[in-house]
Amino acid sequence: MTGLIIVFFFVFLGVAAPLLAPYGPLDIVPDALPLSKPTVQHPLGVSHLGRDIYSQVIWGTQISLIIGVFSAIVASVIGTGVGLVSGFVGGWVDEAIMRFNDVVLSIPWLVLMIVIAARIGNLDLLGIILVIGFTGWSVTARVIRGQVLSLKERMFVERGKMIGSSNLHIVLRHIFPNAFPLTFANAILTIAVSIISESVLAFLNLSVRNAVSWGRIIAEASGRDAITIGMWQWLVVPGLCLVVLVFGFYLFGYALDEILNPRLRRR
Amino acid sequence: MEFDTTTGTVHAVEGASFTMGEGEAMGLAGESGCGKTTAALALMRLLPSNGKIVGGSIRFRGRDLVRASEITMRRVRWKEISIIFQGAMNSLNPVQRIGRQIAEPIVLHDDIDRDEALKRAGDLLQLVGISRERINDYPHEFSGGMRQRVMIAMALACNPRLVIADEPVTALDVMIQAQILELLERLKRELGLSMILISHDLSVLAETTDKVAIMYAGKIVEEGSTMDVFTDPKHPYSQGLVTAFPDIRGLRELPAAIPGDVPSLISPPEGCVFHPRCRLAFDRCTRAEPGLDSVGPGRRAACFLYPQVTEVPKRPVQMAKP
Amino acid sequence: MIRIRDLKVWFPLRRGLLRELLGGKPQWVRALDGVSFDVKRGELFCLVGESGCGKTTTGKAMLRLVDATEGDILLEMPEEEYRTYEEVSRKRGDTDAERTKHELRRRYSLTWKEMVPWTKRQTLTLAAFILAALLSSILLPAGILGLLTVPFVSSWITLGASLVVGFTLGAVGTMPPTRPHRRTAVVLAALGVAAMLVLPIPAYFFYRARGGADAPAADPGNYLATAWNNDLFGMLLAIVFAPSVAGGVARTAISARQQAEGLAGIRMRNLRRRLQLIFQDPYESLNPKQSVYEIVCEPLQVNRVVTNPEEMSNLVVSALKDAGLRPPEEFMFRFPHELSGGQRQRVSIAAALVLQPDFIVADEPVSMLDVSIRTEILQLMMDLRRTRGITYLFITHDLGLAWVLADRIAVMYLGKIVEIGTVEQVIATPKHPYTQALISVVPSPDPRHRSQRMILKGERPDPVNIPTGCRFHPRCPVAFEKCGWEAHEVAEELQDALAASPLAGVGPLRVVDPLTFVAAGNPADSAAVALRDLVARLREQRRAFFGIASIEPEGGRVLVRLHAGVEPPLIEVQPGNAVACHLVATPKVPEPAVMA
Repeated sequence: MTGLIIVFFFVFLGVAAPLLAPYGPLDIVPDALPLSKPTVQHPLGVSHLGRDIYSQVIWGTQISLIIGVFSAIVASVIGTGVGLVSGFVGGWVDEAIMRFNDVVLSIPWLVLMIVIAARIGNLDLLGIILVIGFTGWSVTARVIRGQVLSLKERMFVERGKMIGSSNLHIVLRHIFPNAFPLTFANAILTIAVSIISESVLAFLNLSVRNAVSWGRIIAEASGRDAITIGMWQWLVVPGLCLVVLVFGFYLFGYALDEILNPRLRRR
Repeated sequence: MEFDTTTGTVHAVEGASFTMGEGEAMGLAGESGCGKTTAALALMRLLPSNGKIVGGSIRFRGRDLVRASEITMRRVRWKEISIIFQGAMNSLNPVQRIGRQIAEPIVLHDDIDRDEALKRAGDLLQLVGISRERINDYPHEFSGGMRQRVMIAMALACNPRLVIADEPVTALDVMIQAQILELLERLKRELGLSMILISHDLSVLAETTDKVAIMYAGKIVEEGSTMDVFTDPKHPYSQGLVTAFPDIRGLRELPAAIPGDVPSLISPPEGCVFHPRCRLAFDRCTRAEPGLDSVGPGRRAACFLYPQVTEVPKRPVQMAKP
Repeated sequence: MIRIRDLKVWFPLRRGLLRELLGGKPQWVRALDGVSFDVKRGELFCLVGESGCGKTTTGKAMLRLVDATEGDILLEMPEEEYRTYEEVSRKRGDTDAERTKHELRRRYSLTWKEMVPWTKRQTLTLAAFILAALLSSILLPAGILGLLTVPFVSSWITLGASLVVGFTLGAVGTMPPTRPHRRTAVVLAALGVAAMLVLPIPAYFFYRARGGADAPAADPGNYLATAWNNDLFGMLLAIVFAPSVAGGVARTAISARQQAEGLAGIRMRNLRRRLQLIFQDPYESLNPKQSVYEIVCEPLQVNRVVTNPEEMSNLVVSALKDAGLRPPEEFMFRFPHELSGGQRQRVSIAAALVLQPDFIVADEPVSMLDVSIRTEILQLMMDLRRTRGITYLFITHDLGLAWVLADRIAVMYLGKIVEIGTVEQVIATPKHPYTQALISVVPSPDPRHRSQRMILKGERPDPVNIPTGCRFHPRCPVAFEKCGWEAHEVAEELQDALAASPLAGVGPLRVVDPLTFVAAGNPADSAAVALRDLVARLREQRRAFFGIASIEPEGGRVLVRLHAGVEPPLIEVQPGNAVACHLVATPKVPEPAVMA
């Protein structure tokens, strides 16, 4: 419940950004000097490039959420697809995919992501989403595969085979709908991971060029030694937002998992 | 030993009472959800935290167990009354050797050291027909039937006077079932054990018990000697139930059906709890609830068809939190 | 209507990765080990036995949920054709007979398709395709583009080329006259190598001729390097695609070939409409995410029986009505968790009925239901039998149920039928010792009908280690010489007897081969005599001793030899009543043991 509230709050913030933020994320404020401390008009101060940090944080919500959600969708779709195929087909296909998955999993995802983003360079929004999505499918695949393996043995799947369903039909009609709750819960958790991923990339300046995400703000802030010059809010506030949002998604995701899992064990 | 209780706000067991003597095997019959397991658990004061005994008495060898303290109960459990739970054979710890698992209650209840207990565990295995050498095997090395024997051994660990067996042979093949039942009979003879056998399978009870009580929706609707109840059931439900089991040595006819469904215990029917499904129900049955009264020598039934049967006040169902 | 002939279903035993790699003889779980029986139209045939006897596997094999290892399930084979079938089955090695049998099996047997596994050749062909496509996808584009003097190679072109290559190879390779064949494999491999070697050469020369000044690379090899450098991702994609497409097309074509030659495809669809299965567990056999309507109409959709939604709805409604769920509208949109056990089972039945089958296999349809509900469901099934003329194969472990329901019954043990006949013949007058024991231990609800119980000792063996000879012999109370005693069994029994009452001068036993073991004797002569005496005394209780043919002193030890055992075939003792037991089989043997 708490998780849901947190998430909703931030979604609201992101959606209502144009209304809530007094300035655009890249607008240079006319009435204050760059690197000014917080005042009433600029509650979080003004960045070294003359932008209102408060607005930036609000606008940042949008970016973080969009990238987070969409890349999680990409990762989930890939992961679920792979998991379904791997679990259902079994045999050497399953072995091959799982070994590959092991390899991918053994590389720290952060490192992998950074390397790929750096190599490709110059990413746009779609690019970032794809990069994060493509590096994040492994866990989902493994989880879904486990589910599929156990679902495969259920009696109603046997019945499906008996009446002559094609394998595709069985996967779509019987296996996937029963695995879906797990997919969904997993996807929520993946969102949390994706948001962090994006922030990391932004911090390293590998993210979308002109998008001001929280990671970027934090990067700028730490680049200008925000704490030592007395503008600690510049650094801390976006960081806090990040933590809270991710935490919110985690709570929500775990709660979902709990609710949905016992029902998967019906009766 | 007497047993007469009402439990819980969902009236899982309502006014159940029966008596049994030492060395007797008593059967508790009924379909799923009729309250027989709850009654057995109540007997040992092992109800889960949301259940409690709200009335009646359980007199075991002269003591009332309802009013006994938890400390007393702990001494009674396993040393005087022990229980083989339903499906217990699947609840053995898979990573512990059998010997240790049998020895555990011995060590807990009697003041014996580990080695003594293990030796006794070996004795128990022999008693139930398992070779002593298997004391160091793990549960997965035993078949279903053998695991059930292990559970029986465990139940006998502290020499109880009464053993309650909840569905001891369900899920076993008919030949293994016969082996287990024969074992129980032998133990009853050799050790002078009293037993309460709970089962939905009347055929099993017909073979192995001396007395039987038939439960429906938390009430005992008929009680008497096995021979009487099964050959001449008095309560309409018993009649239906007895004929619902095909008799391999009887006529080749399809068993009779009992129409309708088992009533919800949260909102039981008015009057006699069986009347909606009873083909012999009449006016009084819808208004009042029959008590379990004598309808013959050593026989009791809860049905207004028999004039001796009196009414009992119906305990109002407190609609507590679900 | 259905004839099962010598049906075998063997499952390979998985022994862990290491042992599998190291080879050795594969072990099998012989769930069904040669079962034959007939089910006549309109009758209710019961398959009974304890767990592990193979009855469920039989039901599943009939519905093709498991693959039969051997044997035939002949559906509605006309009488004359069946006689031919029997005839040709007897003649082994005669190629004409084999061909006829092949043809008959193709037309009538449900197990036909499973007899065509992928051969080594076909696998080799597939591998060849993949290899050829792999090589071609790299080299062909480079080669061709070299010729065309196009100044770049991109992954898209490679991709496109590889798709084309893959498809072509796959399609071509399986068309007549090239059959999936070793020859094809060789041809394709050669093609691939040729492409690799040959194509760059003319391209190279062509380039040299043109001076090559306007091209960034002078030979196709360089093209490749450029392409890889520029677009790693695309190239990888192309590499993966070509072989996959080639392999996929090839495999599909080969399978299609197989299917066209068997009962699969359209014919199987027809068959599915005629055979259906009712599962045991009403809780597990329904998809919790599907509504009742969806569950019942799924068979219609999958088999494309009707496409018109209104017609579908009508069929579903009438199926639900026939299954006793009235009014159907009230149940159609409920989900399984909202229904009681009995209602769920009715949904299962409705889903089975919706395709109007002639034959229903019911696997323990009522054993998980409450007793008072059982009768309703059974009555429903009986009514359907009357009104629709459905034939039933009823699988159950409950002999009492078989007694009241069945017309004919077969008792199974460890994968074979031990006794078969009408219900009166088998249950009222059982002849096989296992049947006799089994029936004697079934309890009656009537305490006056208590029987003399013949409780067998021990438990049934693992289907991996099926006893030799008669598979029941280790537990049989009346086993004798021919029943298949093995040295280790008899030695164990003797060891046990000696532990109880040791004999002086008789030492430890050692097994020599399956029919012989030795005992240390001191001296051997008297030891042999003592053993003979012991064996003669204890024979009746320890049936294993019947297996002993001779106890002779030899070379300072006592040599014990056993009778060779034979598996008893199923032999008819009365019209329609067959038993697989040496005691009962031949009339020459003294009167079979009559038990209570």
